[in-house]
Amino acid sequence: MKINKKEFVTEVSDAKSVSELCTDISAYGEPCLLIVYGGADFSADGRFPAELPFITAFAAEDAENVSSGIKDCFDLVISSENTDEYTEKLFKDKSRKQIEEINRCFIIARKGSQEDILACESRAFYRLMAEKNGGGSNE
Amino acid sequence: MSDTMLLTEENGILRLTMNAPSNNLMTADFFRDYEAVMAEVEEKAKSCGIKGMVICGGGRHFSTGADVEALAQRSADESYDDTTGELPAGHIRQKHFFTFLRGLAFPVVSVVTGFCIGSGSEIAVNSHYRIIEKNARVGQPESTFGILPALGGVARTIDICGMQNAYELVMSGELIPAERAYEIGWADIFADKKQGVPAAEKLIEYIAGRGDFAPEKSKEIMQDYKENEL
Repeated sequence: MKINKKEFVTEVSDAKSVSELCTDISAYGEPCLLIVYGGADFSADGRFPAELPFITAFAAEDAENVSSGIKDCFDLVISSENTDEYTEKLFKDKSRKQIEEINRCFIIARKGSQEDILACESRAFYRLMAEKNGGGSNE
Repeated sequence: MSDTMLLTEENGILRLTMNAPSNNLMTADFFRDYEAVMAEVEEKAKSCGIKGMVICGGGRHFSTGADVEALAQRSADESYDDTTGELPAGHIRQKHFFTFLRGLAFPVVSVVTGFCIGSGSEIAVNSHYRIIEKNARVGQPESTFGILPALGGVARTIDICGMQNAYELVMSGELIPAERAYEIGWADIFADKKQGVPAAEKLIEYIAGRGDFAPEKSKEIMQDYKENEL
């Protein structure tokens, strides 16, 4: 398994299964997005923990025809042909803090209710607005 | 009722027409008037006989969204303590008048025309249904201003069009055309120009005829409507 860490993204290739990916999650560092490049033989034999603190993406040559098992394991399924372009579009001009605050809402959405997400987005808004207003709190 | 928020009722259908300056730019005045008219809607909802509600822009655009500088000023004046997580009362009130739409016992249909952006889009996604007219553009560009949608824009977009589409919309802040909004499920019905309001009224009459509307059945009802009526 090869791991390539970038500013906001960690890329993993040559992994064969979700269970292999879960053996040492700390090896990915602290990415905002984990992109797993998988082939036709990739096995969706487990699940990431719901509280995994980053978004997961499965990158496939034919993203339209990825199995439902794999789709269920990852937050996103994307084309492996243009992942740099994809992540550039997502994260352009954003701070790590901002990406993490937005991610937090989507991480909660894996298991949480609409009410949980509504509360999360409100609190994230005030934390980010405090930063926008000069880095202090709003107190 | 204000000049900028026109609430009318005809044949049991409420219609809110937003007519605020600068294509419904959501300034402090807009939010004040919006909250007042939604309080009126909440009161009317207690009585029987309302078949549904249509929300639309009075001009070419649904809404160009919030005035970000005004929003920054407002939030700077508010008190939020992250250690307790207790949100400002003004935000709770404002958010209520967006999110309560989903809990109403009659269908709320936003007719999306022109730009439907940011907090404007949050009115639409808090509705049960969205009818989008050709040439409209929608999106949540808050992330391009260093913040995120916080009036239901994240939660409802996930519910409406799934995790991946919602993540891409919210994180990128990209505006998408009507065709794409329909393709990803953000919009329920695609309509030609000027056909959105008649389409909304037709949908509401269909639902009233069934007599079984409940917020939790809204997706199933739309599925039936598409199969039987469109």
